[in-house]
Amino acid sequence: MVVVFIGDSSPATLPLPLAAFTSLTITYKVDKASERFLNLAGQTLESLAAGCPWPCMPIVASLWTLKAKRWSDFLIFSASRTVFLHNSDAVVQLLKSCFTATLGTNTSPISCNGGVGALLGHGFKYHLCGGLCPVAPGILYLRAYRSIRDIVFLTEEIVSILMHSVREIVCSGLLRERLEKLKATKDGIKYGQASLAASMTRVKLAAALGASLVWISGGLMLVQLLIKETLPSWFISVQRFDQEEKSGGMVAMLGGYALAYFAVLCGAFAWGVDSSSSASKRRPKVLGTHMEFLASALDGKISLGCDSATWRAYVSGFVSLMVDCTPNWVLEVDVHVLKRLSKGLRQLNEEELALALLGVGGVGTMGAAAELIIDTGI
Amino acid sequence: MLFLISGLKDLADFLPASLATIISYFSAEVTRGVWKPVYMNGTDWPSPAANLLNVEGQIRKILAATGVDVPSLASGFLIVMTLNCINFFKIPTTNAFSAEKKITILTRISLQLFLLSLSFTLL
Repeated sequence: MVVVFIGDSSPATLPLPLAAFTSLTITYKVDKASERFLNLAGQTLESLAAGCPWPCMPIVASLWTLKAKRWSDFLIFSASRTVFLHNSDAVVQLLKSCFTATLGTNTSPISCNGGVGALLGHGFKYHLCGGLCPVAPGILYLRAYRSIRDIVFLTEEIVSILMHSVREIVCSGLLRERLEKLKATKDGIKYGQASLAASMTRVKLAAALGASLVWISGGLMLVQLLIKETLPSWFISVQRFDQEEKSGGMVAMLGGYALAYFAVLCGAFAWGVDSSSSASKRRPKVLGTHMEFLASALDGKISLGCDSATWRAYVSGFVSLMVDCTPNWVLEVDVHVLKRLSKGLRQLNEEELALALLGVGGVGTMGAAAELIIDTGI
Repeated sequence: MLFLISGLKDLADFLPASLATIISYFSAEVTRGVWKPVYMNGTDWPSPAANLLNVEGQIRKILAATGVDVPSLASGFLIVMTLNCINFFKIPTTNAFSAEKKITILTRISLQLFLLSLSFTLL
Protein backbone atom coordinates (compact mmCIF):
# COMPACT_ATOMS: atom_id res chain seq x y z
CA MET A 1 0.00 0.00 0.00
CA VAL A 2 1.25 3.45 -0.83
CA VAL A 3 -0.13 6.61 0.65
CA VAL A 4 0.15 9.50 -1.75
CA PHE A 5 -0.38 12.98 -0.45
CA ILE A 6 -1.68 15.32 -3.06
CA GLY A 7 -0.92 18.84 -1.96
CA ASP A 8 -2.06 22.22 -3.19
CA SER A 9 -0.89 21.43 -6.67
CA SER A 10 -3.64 18.85 -7.12
CA PRO A 11 -5.79 19.84 -10.03
CA ALA A 12 -9.29 21.16 -9.56
CA THR A 13 -11.61 20.14 -12.36
CA LEU A 14 -14.43 21.79 -14.28
CA PRO A 15 -16.50 20.44 -17.17
CA LEU A 16 -14.90 21.56 -20.44
CA PRO A 17 -17.63 23.96 -21.62
CA LEU A 18 -17.80 25.59 -18.19
CA ALA A 19 -14.02 25.93 -18.10
CA ALA A 20 -14.08 27.54 -21.54
CA PHE A 21 -16.92 29.86 -20.62
CA THR A 22 -15.27 30.90 -17.34
CA SER A 23 -11.99 31.53 -19.14
CA LEU A 24 -13.79 33.61 -21.73
CA THR A 25 -15.44 35.80 -19.07
CA ILE A 26 -12.11 36.27 -17.30
CA THR A 27 -10.45 37.65 -20.43
CA TYR A 28 -12.70 40.70 -20.30
CA LYS A 29 -11.61 43.72 -18.30
CA VAL A 30 -14.06 44.88 -15.63
CA ASP A 31 -14.89 48.32 -17.07
CA LYS A 32 -17.65 50.24 -18.81
CA ALA A 33 -16.86 48.86 -22.24
CA SER A 34 -17.41 45.24 -21.33
CA GLU A 35 -20.23 45.88 -18.88
CA ARG A 36 -22.82 44.70 -21.36
CA PHE A 37 -21.09 41.42 -21.89
CA LEU A 38 -20.46 40.79 -18.21
CA ASN A 39 -24.07 41.53 -17.28
CA LEU A 40 -25.22 38.97 -19.78
CA ALA A 41 -22.57 36.37 -19.13
CA GLY A 42 -22.25 36.82 -15.36
CA GLN A 43 -25.75 35.67 -14.57
CA THR A 44 -25.53 32.69 -16.90
CA LEU A 45 -22.16 31.74 -15.47
CA GLU A 46 -23.48 31.88 -11.92
CA SER A 47 -26.52 29.73 -12.61
CA LEU A 48 -24.53 27.27 -14.72
CA ALA A 49 -21.81 26.85 -12.13
CA ALA A 50 -24.43 26.50 -9.39
CA GLY A 51 -26.06 23.72 -11.42
CA CYS A 52 -22.84 21.72 -11.72
CA PRO A 53 -21.67 19.33 -8.99
CA TRP A 54 -20.25 20.78 -5.80
CA PRO A 55 -16.71 22.03 -6.20
CA CYS A 56 -17.49 23.79 -9.52
CA MET A 57 -18.98 26.90 -7.97
CA PRO A 58 -16.11 27.54 -5.51
CA ILE A 59 -13.62 27.02 -8.33
CA VAL A 60 -15.39 29.53 -10.57
CA ALA A 61 -15.76 31.89 -7.62
CA SER A 62 -12.08 31.70 -6.74
CA LEU A 63 -11.07 32.27 -10.38
CA TRP A 64 -13.25 35.34 -10.41
CA THR A 65 -12.10 36.64 -7.03
CA LEU A 66 -8.56 36.51 -8.39
CA LYS A 67 -9.80 38.76 -11.18
CA ALA A 68 -12.10 41.15 -9.28
CA LYS A 69 -11.17 41.50 -5.62
CA ARG A 70 -14.00 43.87 -4.76
CA TRP A 71 -16.62 41.31 -5.78
CA SER A 72 -15.17 38.60 -3.60
CA ASP A 73 -17.79 38.82 -0.81
CA PHE A 74 -20.65 38.53 -3.26
CA LEU A 75 -19.00 35.66 -5.13
CA ILE A 76 -18.14 33.75 -1.97
CA PHE A 77 -21.63 34.16 -0.54
CA SER A 78 -23.15 32.92 -3.81
CA ALA A 79 -20.85 29.94 -3.71
CA SER A 80 -21.76 29.12 -0.13
CA ARG A 81 -25.46 28.97 -1.04
CA THR A 82 -24.85 26.27 -3.61
CA VAL A 83 -23.95 23.77 -0.88
CA PHE A 84 -27.71 23.44 -0.35
CA LEU A 85 -28.69 22.93 -3.98
CA HIS A 86 -27.25 19.48 -4.38
CA ASN A 87 -27.40 18.13 -0.90
CA SER A 88 -30.74 17.59 0.83
CA ASP A 89 -28.94 16.52 4.02
CA ALA A 90 -27.44 20.00 4.20
CA VAL A 91 -30.93 21.49 3.80
CA VAL A 92 -32.22 19.36 6.68
CA GLN A 93 -29.26 20.43 8.77
CA LEU A 94 -29.98 24.07 7.95
CA LEU A 95 -33.63 23.62 8.96
CA LYS A 96 -32.57 22.02 12.22
CA SER A 97 -30.26 24.90 13.00
CA CYS A 98 -33.11 27.36 12.23
CA PHE A 99 -35.10 25.63 14.99
CA THR A 100 -32.27 25.41 17.49
CA ALA A 101 -31.31 29.05 16.90
CA THR A 102 -34.90 30.25 17.38
CA LEU A 103 -35.52 28.13 20.48
CA GLY A 104 -32.10 28.88 21.93
CA THR A 105 -31.28 25.21 22.36
CA ASN A 106 -28.04 25.42 20.43
CA THR A 107 -24.56 26.06 21.62
CA SER A 108 -23.42 28.14 18.67
CA PRO A 109 -21.40 31.28 19.26
CA ILE A 110 -24.00 33.59 17.67
CA SER A 111 -26.58 33.54 20.43
CA CYS A 112 -28.02 31.24 23.02
CA ASN A 113 -31.06 33.36 23.86
CA GLY A 114 -33.07 32.34 20.83
CA GLY A 115 -35.86 34.35 19.21
CA VAL A 116 -36.10 35.98 15.82
CA GLY A 117 -32.85 37.86 16.45
CA ALA A 118 -30.94 34.62 16.57
CA LEU A 119 -32.84 33.20 13.59
CA LEU A 120 -32.21 36.11 11.25
CA GLY A 121 -29.11 37.63 12.82
CA HIS A 122 -28.06 41.15 12.07
CA GLY A 123 -27.16 41.03 8.41
CA PHE A 124 -23.64 40.62 7.17
CA LYS A 125 -20.97 41.62 9.57
CA TYR A 126 -17.26 41.84 9.03
CA HIS A 127 -14.46 41.05 11.36
CA LEU A 128 -12.12 43.95 11.88
CA CYS A 129 -9.34 41.82 10.51
CA GLY A 130 -11.35 41.18 7.32
CA GLY A 131 -13.53 38.35 6.15
CA LEU A 132 -17.15 37.47 6.67
CA CYS A 133 -18.74 36.46 9.96
CA PRO A 134 -20.97 33.40 10.25
CA VAL A 135 -24.36 34.10 8.67
CA ALA A 136 -27.53 33.41 10.69
CA PRO A 137 -29.34 30.24 9.55
CA GLY A 138 -32.60 32.04 8.74
CA ILE A 139 -30.89 34.40 6.29
CA LEU A 140 -29.14 31.49 4.62
CA TYR A 141 -32.44 29.65 4.28
CA LEU A 142 -34.12 32.73 2.79
CA ARG A 143 -31.33 32.93 0.21
CA ALA A 144 -31.26 29.23 -0.56
CA TYR A 145 -34.84 27.90 -0.51
CA ARG A 146 -35.73 29.07 -4.01
CA SER A 147 -33.16 26.81 -5.54
CA ILE A 148 -33.95 23.66 -3.54
CA ARG A 149 -35.05 21.24 -6.22
CA ASP A 150 -37.23 18.83 -4.31
CA ILE A 151 -39.44 20.67 -1.84
CA VAL A 152 -41.95 17.87 -1.31
CA PHE A 153 -39.74 16.14 1.26
CA LEU A 154 -39.60 19.36 3.29
CA THR A 155 -42.99 18.92 5.01
CA GLU A 156 -42.07 15.53 6.47
CA GLU A 157 -38.70 16.82 7.59
CA ILE A 158 -40.20 19.92 9.20
CA VAL A 159 -42.80 17.81 11.06
CA SER A 160 -40.13 15.49 12.42
CA ILE A 161 -37.83 18.39 13.39
CA LEU A 162 -40.79 20.04 15.12
CA MET A 163 -41.48 16.89 17.14
CA HIS A 164 -37.81 16.63 18.00
CA SER A 165 -37.78 20.28 19.15
CA VAL A 166 -40.78 19.63 21.42
CA ARG A 167 -38.86 16.82 23.10
CA GLU A 168 -35.85 19.10 23.56
CA ILE A 169 -38.05 21.86 25.01
CA VAL A 170 -39.62 19.50 27.55
CA CYS A 171 -36.28 17.99 28.53
CA SER A 172 -34.58 21.37 28.98
CA GLY A 173 -37.64 22.59 30.94
CA LEU A 174 -37.43 19.58 33.27
CA LEU A 175 -33.74 20.19 33.79
CA ARG A 176 -34.29 23.83 34.70
CA GLU A 177 -37.14 22.85 37.02
CA ARG A 178 -34.95 20.41 38.86
CA LEU A 179 -32.24 23.07 39.28
CA GLU A 180 -34.78 25.53 40.67
CA LYS A 181 -36.13 22.91 43.05
CA LEU A 182 -32.63 22.45 44.38
CA LYS A 183 -32.27 26.18 44.97
CA ALA A 184 -35.63 27.23 46.36
CA THR A 185 -37.85 25.07 48.56
CA LYS A 186 -41.39 25.12 49.83
CA ASP A 187 -42.60 28.55 48.69
CA GLY A 188 -45.81 26.93 47.57
CA ILE A 189 -45.17 27.48 43.84
CA LYS A 190 -46.40 24.68 41.69
CA TYR A 191 -43.31 24.02 39.62
CA GLY A 192 -45.10 21.65 37.27
CA GLN A 193 -47.57 24.31 36.16
CA ALA A 194 -44.94 26.99 35.71
CA SER A 195 -42.80 24.77 33.55
CA LEU A 196 -45.81 23.60 31.50
CA ALA A 197 -46.76 27.21 30.66
CA ALA A 198 -43.16 28.10 29.81
CA SER A 199 -42.78 25.01 27.64
CA MET A 200 -46.09 25.75 25.90
CA THR A 201 -44.87 29.23 24.94
CA ARG A 202 -41.77 27.76 23.37
CA VAL A 203 -43.74 25.01 21.65
CA LYS A 204 -45.94 27.67 20.05
CA LEU A 205 -42.80 29.47 18.86
CA ALA A 206 -41.49 26.27 17.30
CA ALA A 207 -44.85 25.62 15.60
CA ALA A 208 -44.96 29.18 14.24
CA LEU A 209 -41.44 28.78 12.84
CA GLY A 210 -42.36 25.46 11.24
CA ALA A 211 -45.46 26.96 9.62
CA SER A 212 -43.48 29.94 8.32
CA LEU A 213 -40.85 27.65 6.81
CA VAL A 214 -43.49 25.50 5.05
CA TRP A 215 -45.31 28.58 3.76
CA ILE A 216 -42.27 30.39 2.34
CA SER A 217 -40.75 27.23 0.87
CA GLY A 218 -43.72 25.85 -1.00
CA GLY A 219 -46.66 28.19 -0.57
CA LEU A 220 -50.20 26.98 -1.13
CA MET A 221 -49.16 23.73 -2.80
CA LEU A 222 -46.98 22.60 0.10
CA VAL A 223 -49.56 23.57 2.74
CA GLN A 224 -52.22 21.53 0.95
CA LEU A 225 -49.83 18.60 0.70
CA LEU A 226 -49.13 18.90 4.42
CA ILE A 227 -52.78 18.90 5.47
CA LYS A 228 -54.01 16.34 2.95
CA GLU A 229 -51.16 13.84 3.08
CA THR A 230 -48.25 14.47 5.42
CA LEU A 231 -50.19 15.00 8.66
CA PRO A 232 -52.69 12.10 8.21
CA SER A 233 -49.89 9.71 7.28
CA TRP A 234 -47.86 10.90 10.27
CA PHE A 235 -50.79 10.09 12.59
CA ILE A 236 -51.46 6.72 10.97
CA SER A 237 -47.86 5.53 10.86
CA VAL A 238 -46.51 3.93 14.00
CA GLN A 239 -44.27 6.31 15.88
CA ARG A 240 -41.52 4.94 18.00
CA PHE A 241 -40.95 7.42 20.78
CA ASP A 242 -38.25 6.60 23.23
CA GLN A 243 -40.29 7.91 26.09
CA GLU A 244 -38.35 8.81 29.16
CA GLU A 245 -40.17 8.12 32.39
CA LYS A 246 -39.54 11.58 33.78
CA SER A 247 -41.37 13.49 31.05
CA GLY A 248 -44.60 11.78 32.10
CA GLY A 249 -46.43 11.99 28.80
CA MET A 250 -45.75 15.70 28.50
CA VAL A 251 -43.75 15.23 25.31
CA ALA A 252 -46.62 13.37 23.68
CA MET A 253 -49.23 15.93 24.72
CA LEU A 254 -47.19 19.01 23.80
CA GLY A 255 -46.33 17.33 20.49
CA GLY A 256 -50.04 17.16 19.70
CA TYR A 257 -50.55 20.82 20.55
CA ALA A 258 -47.50 21.76 18.49
CA LEU A 259 -48.96 19.98 15.45
CA ALA A 260 -52.33 21.68 16.00
CA TYR A 261 -50.77 25.16 16.07
CA PHE A 262 -48.57 24.26 13.14
CA ALA A 263 -51.50 23.02 11.01
CA VAL A 264 -53.84 25.92 11.81
CA LEU A 265 -51.09 28.51 11.18
CA CYS A 266 -50.15 26.89 7.87
CA GLY A 267 -53.81 26.96 6.85
CA ALA A 268 -54.18 30.57 7.93
CA PHE A 269 -51.07 31.60 5.96
CA ALA A 270 -52.29 29.83 2.85
CA TRP A 271 -56.04 30.50 2.82
CA GLY A 272 -56.57 33.39 5.20
CA VAL A 273 -59.10 33.39 8.01
CA ASP A 274 -62.00 34.78 5.99
CA SER A 275 -63.16 34.57 2.38
CA SER A 276 -61.47 37.71 1.06
CA SER A 277 -58.50 36.07 -0.69
CA SER A 278 -58.76 34.06 -3.88
CA ALA A 279 -56.90 31.17 -2.24
CA SER A 280 -59.72 30.81 0.29
CA LYS A 281 -61.81 29.13 -2.43
CA ARG A 282 -59.58 26.07 -2.15
CA ARG A 283 -60.05 25.90 1.60
CA PRO A 284 -63.40 24.01 1.88
CA LYS A 285 -62.12 21.03 -0.10
CA VAL A 286 -58.81 20.51 1.72
CA LEU A 287 -60.16 21.40 5.15
CA GLY A 288 -63.21 19.19 4.56
CA THR A 289 -60.93 16.23 3.80
CA HIS A 290 -58.96 16.85 6.96
CA MET A 291 -62.05 17.18 9.18
CA GLU A 292 -63.41 14.01 7.62
CA PHE A 293 -60.13 12.32 8.59
CA LEU A 294 -60.40 13.62 12.16
CA ALA A 295 -64.02 12.45 12.46
CA SER A 296 -63.27 9.00 11.01
CA ALA A 297 -60.33 8.49 13.34
CA LEU A 298 -62.49 9.52 16.30
CA ASP A 299 -65.22 7.10 15.14
CA GLY A 300 -62.62 4.36 15.05
CA LYS A 301 -62.91 3.84 11.27
CA ILE A 302 -59.22 4.71 10.88
CA SER A 303 -56.75 3.21 13.32
CA LEU A 304 -53.92 5.46 14.39
CA GLY A 305 -50.31 4.63 15.09
CA CYS A 306 -49.35 7.66 17.12
CA ASP A 307 -49.50 8.11 20.87
CA SER A 308 -53.11 8.52 22.08
CA ALA A 309 -52.14 11.57 24.17
CA THR A 310 -50.68 13.21 21.05
CA TRP A 311 -53.82 12.51 19.06
CA ARG A 312 -56.11 13.78 21.79
CA ALA A 313 -54.08 16.98 22.18
CA TYR A 314 -54.05 17.47 18.40
CA VAL A 315 -57.79 17.09 17.96
CA SER A 316 -58.74 19.30 20.89
CA GLY A 317 -56.07 21.84 19.96
CA PHE A 318 -57.05 21.98 16.30
CA VAL A 319 -60.79 22.25 16.96
CA SER A 320 -60.49 24.84 19.72
CA LEU A 321 -58.15 26.99 17.61
CA MET A 322 -60.66 26.79 14.77
CA VAL A 323 -63.58 27.69 17.04
CA ASP A 324 -61.74 30.58 18.70
CA CYS A 325 -59.64 32.03 15.90
CA THR A 326 -61.11 30.98 12.55
CA PRO A 327 -64.86 30.42 13.03
CA ASN A 328 -65.42 31.04 9.30
CA TRP A 329 -63.62 27.78 8.57
CA VAL A 330 -66.17 25.82 10.61
CA LEU A 331 -69.03 27.14 8.46
CA GLU A 332 -67.47 25.58 5.35
CA VAL A 333 -67.33 22.09 6.84
CA ASP A 334 -70.09 19.61 6.11
CA VAL A 335 -72.77 19.50 8.85
CA HIS A 336 -72.66 15.70 9.21
CA VAL A 337 -68.90 15.77 9.70
CA LEU A 338 -69.32 18.43 12.40
CA LYS A 339 -71.90 16.26 14.19
CA ARG A 340 -69.61 13.23 14.05
CA LEU A 341 -66.72 15.33 15.33
CA SER A 342 -68.72 16.64 18.27
CA LYS A 343 -69.77 13.09 19.14
CA GLY A 344 -66.12 12.05 19.07
CA LEU A 345 -65.12 15.01 21.23
CA ARG A 346 -67.72 13.99 23.83
CA GLN A 347 -66.10 10.57 24.00
CA LEU A 348 -62.82 12.35 24.81
CA ASN A 349 -64.65 14.16 27.67
CA GLU A 350 -64.48 17.46 25.77
CA GLU A 351 -68.19 18.32 26.11
CA GLU A 352 -67.69 22.09 26.20
CA LEU A 353 -65.54 22.03 23.07
CA ALA A 354 -68.11 19.79 21.35
CA LEU A 355 -70.83 22.31 22.19
CA ALA A 356 -68.70 25.27 21.07
CA LEU A 357 -68.04 23.53 17.74
CA LEU A 358 -71.74 22.96 17.15
CA GLY A 359 -72.41 26.52 18.28
CA VAL A 360 -70.23 28.06 15.55
CA GLY A 361 -71.48 25.57 13.00
CA GLY A 362 -74.51 27.72 12.14
CA VAL A 363 -78.12 26.79 11.55
CA GLY A 364 -77.37 23.23 10.44
CA THR A 365 -75.91 22.16 13.74
CA MET A 366 -78.37 24.03 15.95
CA GLY A 367 -80.56 20.98 16.58
CA ALA A 368 -77.55 18.83 17.50
CA ALA A 369 -76.34 21.56 19.87
CA ALA A 370 -79.73 21.63 21.60
CA GLU A 371 -79.68 17.82 21.99
CA LEU A 372 -76.21 18.00 23.45
CA ILE A 373 -77.31 20.62 26.02
CA ILE A 374 -80.30 18.49 27.08
CA ASP A 375 -78.18 15.31 27.26
CA THR A 376 -75.33 16.69 29.30
CA GLY A 377 -77.08 19.47 31.15
CA ILE A 378 -74.23 21.98 30.62
CA MET B 1 -7.19 26.45 -25.13
CA LEU B 2 -5.67 29.91 -25.63
CA PHE B 3 -6.41 29.55 -29.30
CA LEU B 4 -10.02 28.73 -28.52
CA ILE B 5 -10.61 31.53 -26.00
CA SER B 6 -8.87 34.26 -28.00
CA GLY B 7 -10.79 33.11 -31.06
CA LEU B 8 -14.07 33.39 -29.18
CA LYS B 9 -13.15 36.81 -27.80
CA ASP B 10 -12.26 38.10 -31.27
CA LEU B 11 -15.52 36.76 -32.56
CA ALA B 12 -17.52 38.42 -29.77
CA ASP B 13 -15.68 41.73 -30.18
CA PHE B 14 -16.14 41.74 -33.92
CA LEU B 15 -19.74 40.54 -33.87
CA PRO B 16 -21.41 41.57 -30.58
CA ALA B 17 -24.63 39.87 -31.69
CA SER B 18 -22.87 36.52 -31.53
CA LEU B 19 -22.56 36.82 -27.75
CA ALA B 20 -26.00 35.44 -27.06
CA THR B 21 -25.29 32.47 -29.30
CA ILE B 22 -21.97 31.78 -27.60
CA ILE B 23 -23.57 31.97 -24.16
CA SER B 24 -26.53 29.79 -25.05
CA TYR B 25 -24.23 27.29 -26.73
CA PHE B 26 -22.12 26.96 -23.59
CA SER B 27 -25.20 26.70 -21.39
CA ALA B 28 -26.60 23.93 -23.56
CA GLU B 29 -23.29 22.05 -23.54
CA VAL B 30 -22.90 22.36 -19.76
CA THR B 31 -26.43 21.10 -19.15
CA ARG B 32 -25.92 18.27 -21.63
CA GLY B 33 -23.10 17.14 -19.38
CA VAL B 34 -21.29 14.87 -21.84
CA TRP B 35 -17.96 16.68 -21.72
CA LYS B 36 -15.10 15.36 -19.65
CA PRO B 37 -13.84 17.50 -16.78
CA VAL B 38 -10.61 19.40 -17.42
CA TYR B 39 -7.89 20.07 -14.89
CA MET B 40 -7.55 23.71 -13.94
CA ASN B 41 -3.79 23.38 -13.57
CA GLY B 42 -2.63 26.77 -14.77
CA THR B 43 -1.10 25.60 -18.05
CA ASP B 44 -4.00 24.55 -20.25
CA TRP B 45 -6.60 26.35 -18.23
CA PRO B 46 -6.38 29.09 -15.58
CA SER B 47 -5.69 27.80 -12.10
CA PRO B 48 -7.70 28.76 -9.01
CA ALA B 49 -5.09 27.26 -6.66
CA ALA B 50 -3.89 30.65 -5.38
CA ASN B 51 -7.29 31.42 -3.93
CA LEU B 52 -9.17 28.16 -3.57
CA LEU B 53 -8.22 27.45 0.03
CA ASN B 54 -9.09 30.99 1.03
CA VAL B 55 -12.50 30.73 -0.66
CA GLU B 56 -13.12 27.38 1.01
CA GLY B 57 -12.21 28.85 4.39
CA GLN B 58 -14.58 31.79 3.88
CA ILE B 59 -17.41 29.46 2.87
CA ARG B 60 -16.83 27.38 5.98
CA LYS B 61 -16.87 30.55 8.05
CA ILE B 62 -20.16 31.73 6.53
CA LEU B 63 -21.80 28.38 7.19
CA ALA B 64 -20.25 27.97 10.64
CA ALA B 65 -23.40 28.99 12.51
CA THR B 66 -25.49 26.32 10.77
CA GLY B 67 -23.16 23.43 11.45
CA VAL B 68 -23.52 22.35 7.83
CA ASP B 69 -20.68 20.16 6.67
CA VAL B 70 -19.01 21.64 3.59
CA PRO B 71 -17.56 18.99 1.31
CA SER B 72 -13.83 19.58 1.01
CA LEU B 73 -12.48 21.01 -2.21
CA ALA B 74 -9.93 19.31 -4.41
CA SER B 75 -6.84 20.31 -2.48
CA GLY B 76 -4.83 18.51 0.11
CA PHE B 77 -6.39 15.07 0.39
CA LEU B 78 -4.98 11.60 0.90
CA ILE B 79 -5.27 8.81 -1.59
CA VAL B 80 -4.56 5.27 -0.51
CA MET B 81 -3.83 2.86 -3.31
CA THR B 82 -1.81 -0.20 -4.17
CA LEU B 83 1.39 0.10 -6.17
CA ASN B 84 -0.15 -1.58 -9.18
CA CYS B 85 -2.88 0.96 -9.35
CA ILE B 86 -0.64 3.99 -9.64
CA ASN B 87 -0.18 3.73 -13.37
CA PHE B 88 -3.85 3.05 -13.78
CA PHE B 89 -4.78 6.20 -11.91
CA LYS B 90 -2.12 8.36 -13.51
CA ILE B 91 -3.61 11.65 -14.44
CA PRO B 92 -2.85 12.92 -17.92
CA THR B 93 -2.00 16.54 -17.22
CA THR B 94 -1.03 17.86 -20.61
CA ASN B 95 -2.72 17.46 -23.95
CA ALA B 96 -5.84 16.25 -22.21
CA PHE B 97 -7.76 17.97 -24.94
CA SER B 98 -6.64 17.56 -28.43
CA ALA B 99 -6.76 20.34 -30.96
CA GLU B 100 -9.57 18.47 -32.68
CA LYS B 101 -11.98 19.07 -29.82
CA LYS B 102 -11.20 22.77 -29.76
CA ILE B 103 -11.80 22.95 -33.47
CA THR B 104 -15.06 21.03 -33.05
CA ILE B 105 -16.33 23.68 -30.61
CA LEU B 106 -15.33 26.52 -32.92
CA THR B 107 -16.89 24.86 -35.92
CA ARG B 108 -20.14 24.27 -34.11
CA ILE B 109 -20.34 27.85 -32.94
CA SER B 110 -19.55 29.26 -36.36
CA LEU B 111 -22.10 26.93 -37.91
CA GLN B 112 -24.74 28.17 -35.49
CA LEU B 113 -23.73 31.76 -36.24
CA PHE B 114 -23.98 31.09 -39.94
CA LEU B 115 -27.48 29.69 -39.53
CA LEU B 116 -28.43 32.64 -37.37
CA SER B 117 -27.22 35.19 -39.93
CA LEU B 118 -28.92 33.20 -42.69
CA SER B 119 -32.23 33.35 -40.85
CA PHE B 120 -31.80 37.10 -40.37
CA THR B 121 -31.15 37.67 -44.08
CA LEU B 122 -34.17 35.56 -44.98
CA LEU B 123 -36.34 37.60 -42.65
